[in-house]
Amino acid sequence: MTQESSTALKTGQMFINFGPQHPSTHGVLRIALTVEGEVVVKADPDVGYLHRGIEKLFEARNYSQGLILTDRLDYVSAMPNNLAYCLAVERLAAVQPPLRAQYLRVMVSELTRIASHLVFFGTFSVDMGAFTPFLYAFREREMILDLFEMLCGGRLLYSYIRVGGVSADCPAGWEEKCGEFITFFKPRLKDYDTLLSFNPIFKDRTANVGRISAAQALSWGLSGPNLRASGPDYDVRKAEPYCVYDKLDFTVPTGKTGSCWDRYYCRMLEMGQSAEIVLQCLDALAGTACLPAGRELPPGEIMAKGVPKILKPPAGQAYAHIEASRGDLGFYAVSDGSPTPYRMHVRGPSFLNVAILQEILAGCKIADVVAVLGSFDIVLGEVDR
Amino acid sequence: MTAEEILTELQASFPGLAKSDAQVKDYPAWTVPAQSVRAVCERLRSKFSFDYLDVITAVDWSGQVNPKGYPQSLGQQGSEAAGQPDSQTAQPSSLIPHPSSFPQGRPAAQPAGARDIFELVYLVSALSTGVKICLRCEIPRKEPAAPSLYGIFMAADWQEREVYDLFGIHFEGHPNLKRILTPETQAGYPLRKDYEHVSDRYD
Repeated sequence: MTQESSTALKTGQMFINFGPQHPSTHGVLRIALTVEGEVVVKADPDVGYLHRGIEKLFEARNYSQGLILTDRLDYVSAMPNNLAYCLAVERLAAVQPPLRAQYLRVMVSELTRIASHLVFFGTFSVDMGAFTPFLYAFREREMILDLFEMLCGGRLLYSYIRVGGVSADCPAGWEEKCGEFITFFKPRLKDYDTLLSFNPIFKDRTANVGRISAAQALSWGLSGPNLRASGPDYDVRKAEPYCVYDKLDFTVPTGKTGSCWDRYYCRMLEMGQSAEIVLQCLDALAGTACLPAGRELPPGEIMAKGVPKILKPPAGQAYAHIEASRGDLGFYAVSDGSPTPYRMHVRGPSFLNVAILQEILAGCKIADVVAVLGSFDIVLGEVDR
Repeated sequence: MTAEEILTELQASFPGLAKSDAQVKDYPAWTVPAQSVRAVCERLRSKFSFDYLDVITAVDWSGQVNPKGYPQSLGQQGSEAAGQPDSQTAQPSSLIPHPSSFPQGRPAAQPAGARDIFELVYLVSALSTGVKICLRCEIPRKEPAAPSLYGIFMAADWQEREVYDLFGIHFEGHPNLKRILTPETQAGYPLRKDYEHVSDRYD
């Protein structure tokens, strides 16, 4: 957090605090704007209002206690946070989770991606002045949360993915319910397009606004849909497949111009791909998909054998990263052989996604600040950690 | 081009560059002297198409974490465990377990591997070829400083500010090096192992 003085202004300029308590900052983000009439001259995003010192807290907890901290990073999509943390710790401790657990992990990650992108779809449309899509988005999100509640009891913070596997197998009837949801959900994507995506007013507000070139996006370390909207097709699920992503068939949607609309539409297309991945995982769990010869996914085999309650990984370093809902989420873990991590660093994708605002907001109109910020889909829990 | 070949080519210009013996699992790790970090990254970017900076972070290798780095009641409990009983302020029942209360907790003395250094960790990747390299750079804990990567990778902007904020490592050449996550009134650098929490009005 920094203080910004408004004394260094030229005549005709005005200083505006956008946030931290502003509904369209989606949390406690402050952007210190210097404007000349309607045009933003300088924008300085200011973060840290939600800083909880999570990286320090890791150093006072053992590995299983640390897991609950990860839920609180990106609280809109908590499953992938659990996953990235567990992959890093598993790499340190050389634990190999069973195949069934890996399919379950991928499935819940993709369901979370849909749920998270639905929040984006709803809130972004409200930011742009359309209220109706929000109601549709939350109707569908509710169904996913119900599925998660059946699976692990949690609706927001799950701690479902554990070091060595997952905490529970699907309860009776869960697979059918999940399949029903996907069948219901896939045609809804067309509804969203009719509702919002190709609405001329919405397109006027977002297309050609806040454009980011591919070189810019890479240099600033953008990731996830924000990066792919500018052209590069970097997706950790393809570049460094983890869990069972190399066995699944999906495409990575990319945009062309890197405008707000491209970032929006990349996420809409991603939801369709996620739905396909969930279907493939369901097939694999039911045994109808072609698994490698002799491989089955027996129910109940969800935890690696011999993972102790108090984990003491051998001294060393490991880095694991995944494609979370908002981009490339990484954990850099250092162990000194004791039950608590020596150091745990979180690479939050939103943290890097916010940083580019200082470059692209300059020159925008004030009204477009909301559009640009909304299109990045940041979660401040992950920015401030 | 594999990481091995890049290393051999780079070693001709940067004799300090070497393969790190402490491996970061799955990623080739090199040690690099602090003064040539920027030059190495510049070369990696211009010649070997490394276009993406994943991570900049740091590790404090000075040993176990100081219990005083945690809020008052926990700190007192910790010092008691370390052999300085303070019966008046100690609060034995706390909801949050303290490191010293864990089974097989860290020994009270400095571990054998403790060194008086910070280690900077950089993860850079070339998205087109998929090669990813971890650069490790050791700097002294006294007046720690390293060259900034600002300008080569803009992703360094906020990540270096974060490392500065939490570790107090100075990045030379960074145009806007100020605290980012903690308030300006913050005393000390919280992720240092010897950080001591000073009670303020929020405790």
